[in-house]
Order: sequence, then structure tokens, then C-alpha cells
Amino acid sequence: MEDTSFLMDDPEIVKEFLTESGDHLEDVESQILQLEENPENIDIINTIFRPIHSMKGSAGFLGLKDLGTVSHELETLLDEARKGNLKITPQIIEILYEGLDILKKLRELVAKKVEKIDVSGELVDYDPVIIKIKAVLSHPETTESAPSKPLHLGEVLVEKGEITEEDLDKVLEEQEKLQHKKLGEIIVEKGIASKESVDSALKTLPVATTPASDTVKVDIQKIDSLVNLVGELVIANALIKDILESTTNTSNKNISHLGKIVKDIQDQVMSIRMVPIKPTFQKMSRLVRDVSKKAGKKVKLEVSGEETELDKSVIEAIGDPLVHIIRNSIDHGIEPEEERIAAGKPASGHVYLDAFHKGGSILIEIKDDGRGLKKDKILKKAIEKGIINENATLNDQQIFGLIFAPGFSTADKITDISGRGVGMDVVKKNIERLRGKVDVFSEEEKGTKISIKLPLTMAIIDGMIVQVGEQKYIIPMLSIEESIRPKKEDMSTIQQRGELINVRGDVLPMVRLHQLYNVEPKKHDPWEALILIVESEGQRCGILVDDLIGQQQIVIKSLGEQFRNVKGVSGSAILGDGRVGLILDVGGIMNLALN
Amino acid sequence: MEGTLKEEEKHAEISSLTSHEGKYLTFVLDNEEYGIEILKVREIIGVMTITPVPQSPNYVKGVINLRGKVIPVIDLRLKFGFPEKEYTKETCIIVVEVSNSLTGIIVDTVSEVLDIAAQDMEPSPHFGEGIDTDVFIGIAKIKNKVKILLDIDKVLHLEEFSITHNLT
Repeated sequence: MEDTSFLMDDPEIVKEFLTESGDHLEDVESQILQLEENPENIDIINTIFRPIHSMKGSAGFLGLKDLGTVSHELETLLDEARKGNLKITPQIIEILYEGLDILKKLRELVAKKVEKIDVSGELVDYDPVIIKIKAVLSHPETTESAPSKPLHLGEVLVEKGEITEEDLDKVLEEQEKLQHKKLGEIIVEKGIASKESVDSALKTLPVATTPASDTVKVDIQKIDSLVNLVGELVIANALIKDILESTTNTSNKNISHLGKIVKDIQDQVMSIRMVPIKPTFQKMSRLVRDVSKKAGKKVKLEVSGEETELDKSVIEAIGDPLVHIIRNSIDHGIEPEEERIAAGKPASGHVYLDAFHKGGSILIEIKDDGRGLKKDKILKKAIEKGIINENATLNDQQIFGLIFAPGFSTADKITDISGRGVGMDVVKKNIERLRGKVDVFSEEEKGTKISIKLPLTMAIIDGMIVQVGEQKYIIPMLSIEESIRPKKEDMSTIQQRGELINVRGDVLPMVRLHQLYNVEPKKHDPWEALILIVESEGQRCGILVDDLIGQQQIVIKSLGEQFRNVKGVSGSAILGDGRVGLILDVGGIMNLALN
Repeated sequence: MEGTLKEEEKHAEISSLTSHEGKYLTFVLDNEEYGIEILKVREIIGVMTITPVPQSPNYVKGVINLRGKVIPVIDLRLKFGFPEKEYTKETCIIVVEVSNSLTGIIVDTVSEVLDIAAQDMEPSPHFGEGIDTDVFIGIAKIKNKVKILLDIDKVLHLEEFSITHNLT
């Protein structure tokens, strides 16, 4: 174990190194994936080389010997490769991954040391990978082609002997006439070369990399306080508007102009917290690669919608559920190669990962073309495990929903990839914690689609403000089905205590909010007040309130540690009049009042 | 022997008091004067609308909006078992920072800021059961008046503001 006590001399520099190297390693990981697809592309090798090189520099500067040694060896390997002295083989890719993982682990160790976490006993053994690198370097398998790459498709094809120089001249002439038409298309149309050979030539061309947008790194706390302040600004603005509107009309125009500016500022500030989901998806590519290898199946991951932006906190929390779902897809969903061929499917399985906006939410879909979920098998298992009753009648959705039940696992054998029977219920819990929803769609022999619906941000919800006596409460719109004023004859009681309400034939229990929270209501009789029909985890009930005040976007604020055990309240928000309103947790209320 | 032991004990207590020297914000609860270390005080505000939080002990009055932050407010009278008193113009909320979080404490009225030296302080006397002397740093005598110096960290330490609620 190297002595790194000196790290503490200047923790700021080390922390900077940690963030920087974290970014570098993420870049390197995604680039290695690219390189695996295009092993002959020198540009990609260069983009891997650069961050490794700068990591080696910083590690040397900070005296991190282990990190320095490993990055130095990787750098040497990459340098040989970019000079064309070494061909990128699957073996080299493997070594690169291995080296990357070791760099990650070493970086973790440094991070822990800075946080003063005891790391004695945690050793990273990097000798094997260094031995492998040295072995490869001593018997290099050189690239056949010259290191200087031709840059145009035509030249590549001529060099490969697919077309002659004359052909190329003719085609180029043609292209000038046709404009906007791509060279490759003309070549294929003219029948000079086949589509396949054009495609393979295209692959050797450098990939045009999109320039990174100019960014500034900002402490997340600064952003959070900015978000808070802007929230205050919006409320203060609303207060002034209320006062002025009731006294004079002349300043109305200016006030509404100010209101627009404030709203714009709020939107902008909120968008600062939004980051693209791309890095998370990139991690999944690596996961698919490793897991499919372990499972001995050929699986290809297809990703779209990487640019979709989500709140930073959501992105951080969605990683684990995605890992679970994708692992399950590969392990249980995708069939082994022979089985797939026998079923008339392409030999390699496909997993599709997609993210997109839909109606104020974000949807993330994980789809596979595997064997699908077997309903009878799930039902049998669920009955065996006592999750459902033998006579229960369930629709498809409910049956698929059973895979999220705690302690449920249909895999016949337990593998080390997945199938421990924990996992899917954790997935569901994690997503519900993000105020999201999971749905499963599956067709036997065709595949399974898991769709995760998430709110745009964790910080804001749509809430209904309700009044009970002097108090105002907020109920998330997501949990509200409808609001009704019942007729007297729709109400009934059980043993003079429990109250029931008949909503078009459904008899639901009713909770009096004023009783639960001990406030004096303005209205005692349900047929004079209002009842909100709410739903949580499949359970429904009616909540009696005095009045509805209105629907509003609400910035959620935590009530703090001291109140964490208060049931039925999930947080608070500042209302239009500057007062604090409590956000009610419908599930908690039902537990409190009915169970 | 016993005498010297007591002396030593007293000596130790006094030396611990010197570490509490400094400026104190004093305030009134009923007819008693209290002080808290000024470094813990963030600001003093008038009483505003407080949103009650269900299932909390009676001395937890609820939460307020402090310029966009939601912070809990406790009534020190009720916390110390004094009779409840209606809030007046004099009533203040002292916002204190304890282990990185803000809490408002309601007091009858705020008096002044005092510089209190170690020689003016005395360890708090023991009263037997019923009075928790843990929350006191000690007492100070300034111009023949007694001020009770509160260790506000201990008053609010790890306070859990919810009580188990029997709803049946």
C-alpha cells in the first residue's frame, strides 16, 4: 500500500483531480465501446489516449504512484496502437476495459482516502493487467494498412480495389451535377460497387465528432439556492400582483410584464438542473457487453433518445433500476443462440433502450426481443409463494405486475447475474420513490417491454390545494382521481364509526382529514363539503375536505429531519400567500386512518 | 480529602465555563431571564403565521417560511413546561442554527446582548428531580440579576418532533 498521507495537505487539488478524472474515465469508457465497433479508427484511439495521458500527468503531479503506473502502461499501449504498430484486437479491447476498471478502483481508493474513510485492506491488484500489456507489446500484431488514413470514401474504395480511379472520377463528376447526393449512394446506384463494400469502407472513415458545448461546472448547492430564491421571487411577485390588482388598474400592464420575466427566469433556472441521460445510457452499453458475455449470449444494445434531459437527482437514482431491468432482460428474456435460431429469430438478441418526453413526463423504455413473460408460469409461482390467492382473477397487467412483488423469481436456476428474487421489487420501490410508475408489456415469444414513467423533475409537482378549517393542505394531482360532492343517500356507516361513500357503485372508505389532523372544519357534513377520491398502491378512498382552492405547481421542500416520522405528510411547500402548506402523502393517510 | 475533591471538581467546572465566555443574547420567559450564545443565533423575527404539523408534541408549534426555507418552530414556554401565553407584539422567534439546521424558538421578548466573562458565571446548581440541568451551561449574575445560560444544542439535540399517535 503506498503512502498517501500527503494527499491531505491540499485536499482541494485532489478533489479537483477526482472530478476531472471521473469525467475522463467516463469518456474513456464510452470511447472504448466505440472502438470495439470501429477498431481501425485512429481518431477514437486518440480520444482515448488523451484523457489517459492527462490522468497520468496529474497522477504524477499528485504523487499517486499506482494510478500513474497503470495509466502509463495503458498510454504506451494506446500510443503503439495510434502509431499503427499495434492492431486493435478483441484481446486489446479486453485489456483496455480491464485497465479502465483498475483506474476506476484506484480513483475510488483515493476518493475514500480524501473522505478519511479507512481503506486498509482494500487492495487493487494491477499487476496482471500490466503483465498482459507488456506481453501484447512484446508480440505486437501490426495493422496491415498504413497508419496515414485516406480521408475520402472514394479513396478508400480505390485503395481496397473495389473501384478504379476512372470510376471514381466519373462518379465525382456525376455528384457535382446531382448536388446533395452522397458519393456512396451514387456508387451503389451505378452498380460500381456493392452496398456492403461501401458500408465497410465508410466504417474505416473517421467519425465526425460533435463539438462539446461550452460548459461551466457549478456547485449543485449554488443551483439549489438559486432555485429556492427564484421560487421566492415568483411568490413575491404573485403577492404584489394580488395587492396592486385590487387597488389600481394602471400598473397592471407592467406587473404582467414583470410576471412574464419572472416566469422565464424560473424556467431557465429549473432547466439548469436538467442533464442529458446520455452518460447513464453509456454505462448500460458497458453493462450489456459484460453481462451478455457472462451469460454466453449474443446481445446487441440499441440506444435512442440519449439527449433527453432529466433532473440531476432523477438521473442519479434511475441508474440502479435500469441495471436490474437490463440484467433481467439479458438473463431471463433473451434466449440462447440455438433457441433463437430454432424460433426463427436472428441469432443475436436485441435490447432497446429509449428515452423520450410524453405529456409532461419522461418515459424510459427497455424492450427486448426475447421469449417474453409466461403468464401461466408467473401465476403458478405467485400462488406457490402465497403472493396471490388460487382463485384470484387477474388481468394481463396485474399478472405482469406480480414480477415486482417482493420475493418473486421465476428463473428455474439462480445465476450470479440475476434471479436472486430480490431486485424487481427494489426496482419498483426506487421508481416510486422518484414519484414514477413502472408498467410491463409482454408477448410470449415476442419479447418484453418495461416502461418507466418519471416526472420531469423531483423538485416540482402538480398539487391540488385544499382547505380544511383554517389550514391549507396540498394533495399531489397524481393521486387524485376525481372530486365529488356526494348525495346524502350515498353515505353510510359501519358500526356507527367507519364511514363509507358510494361512488357510482364502488363503495369506498372515507377519511375525515379534520379528525385525522385535529383541526376544526367549516363543514361537517359530506354532502355540503367535498370528497376527493384518491388512489395509492391500488387502494382507493375518499378524503373529506372543506373546499378546493385550486391547482398549482408546487416546489417541494423537505420538512427536515425532525419531522421524518410524521405520517401522512411527505413534505411542504410555500403557498401563494407566503404561508407553508403541508403536502399530504395519500398512502400514509390511508395507512394511518384505515389500517 | 473529600473537601479537596470537591474543590477539584469545582475547579474543573469553572475551567469548562471559561470556554463559554462571550456574548449572549438574553430573552425573557415569564419572569425569568435566559441567555443563549450569540454565535448560535442567526436572526430574530416577529411571530408570523405558523403552519401546524400533525402528530407533533405540543411545544412544536409547526413550521414557518423563512425566505423560502421551511423551518420548525418550538415554543420554549411549552418546552419548559410553562403555561401557554398568547402571542403579542413583543413575542419573538429567535432563529438558531444547531448542527447545520435552523430552528425557530418562540420567547416572550428579547432583551439585549451581554458580554459575559467566566468570573460572572457559576455552574448551575442541582435541583433534584424535575429540572433537567443538562440543558444549562450555568448561571450568570449580572448587576445582581440572574441569567440562566442555555445550551441550545442540548435543548434541541436530536429532537424528534413526532410522537407516536394512537388513533383508535
